[in-house]
Amino acid sequence: MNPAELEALLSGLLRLWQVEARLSVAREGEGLRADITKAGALVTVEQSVQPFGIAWHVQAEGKRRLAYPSTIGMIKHLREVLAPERGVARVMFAAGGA
Amino acid sequence: MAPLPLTVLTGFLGSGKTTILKHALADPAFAGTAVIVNEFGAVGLDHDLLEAAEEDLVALSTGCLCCAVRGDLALTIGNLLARRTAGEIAFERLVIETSGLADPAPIVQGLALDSDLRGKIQLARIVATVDAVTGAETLANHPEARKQAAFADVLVLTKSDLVATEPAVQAARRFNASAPTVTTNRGRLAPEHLLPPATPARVLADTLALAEDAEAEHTEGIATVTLVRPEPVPAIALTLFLEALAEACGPDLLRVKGLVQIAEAPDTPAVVHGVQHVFHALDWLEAWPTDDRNTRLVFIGRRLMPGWPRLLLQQIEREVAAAA
Repeated sequence: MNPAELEALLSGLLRLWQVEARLSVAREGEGLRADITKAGALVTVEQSVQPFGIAWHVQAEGKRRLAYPSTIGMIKHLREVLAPERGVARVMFAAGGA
Repeated sequence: MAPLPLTVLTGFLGSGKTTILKHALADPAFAGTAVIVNEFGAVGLDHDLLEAAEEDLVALSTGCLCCAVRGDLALTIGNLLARRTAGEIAFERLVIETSGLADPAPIVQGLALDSDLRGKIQLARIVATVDAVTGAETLANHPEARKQAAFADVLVLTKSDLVATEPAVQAARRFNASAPTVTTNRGRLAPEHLLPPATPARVLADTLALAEDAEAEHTEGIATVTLVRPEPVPAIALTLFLEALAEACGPDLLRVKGLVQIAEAPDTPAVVHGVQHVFHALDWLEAWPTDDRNTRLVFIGRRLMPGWPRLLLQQIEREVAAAA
């Protein structure tokens, strides 16, 4: 993933969630770092390649920095931080068709 | 026993759903079809089956309509299937006519997830009627009509003998750019548009052919976004992708449909068919319907950015590859 792709991915999420925030993305070492500023509060999203695979780290201001091994985990945490009022929709598969 | 195909006929009040059904029920091509109508006052014909799931108008005003109707429909279908199994009646397919104010999503979801109906019925298509005379105004003023149009696999323009259909077509396309449009002839709809397609790929092929150029955002932020790619998708990546999509979009993801070339089985495309966050079990076609073996997915949702689903899928594929 390059900075433009991360920016597009996060921009798409902010748009989906109707979150007004400032977003900036830059390379940090061999990974990427995005700063999302919403109402003055900073949330950082980092992506890096670790020995076990791709890792995401999300940290909201004043909170612990949490690691996720998947994009889904990162999205879930980010939604809880930036748009906690949004409804959750877990995907469900209907067996044998509708 | 193969699941019975189910067609959901929806559309706003007075848009011609029942007229279409009346004509259809008199058509020999429609024999063997069990019809369930959410509203009373349905037509009764001897050679076809008609079951009515009464809709409580009081519940409508309380917002409980979807739950009430869902339960009624599941029970009605369950009763029909039980009578079919007992040899009392025979039918090969089901059609549900929703009420004019119904949201088709919870109805389809409720049936998809009903434990008693699991594996017994399969959504074939959602058909939505749009009144050529009043459709543009109705779509502008009634969110129910917009949602019905957005969920449709096929948009049926009714009353096309009275006025030009183009304004209503354009209005409907603002909410669903991917569904093919057909017109009725004095209330008559060609059976093939209402009956289940021979294979899921047929309606999908129609839809996807239109969707190639249909990447645009429209009123209320409802956008149709397409993803076409030649590379096969690992099965696990597809599952994770759909989960991520549901997680990110929540209830704003209205429809997902398409054909996917799965890396583990590239010769037998998987049919993806989802209504909001509920996906039908993957259907596998025996072969690609045409020479086009590209993965083609259509997403209809609110505030979806063009290219965003593709980016999400790419990222998940990288994670899957890195973890392997």
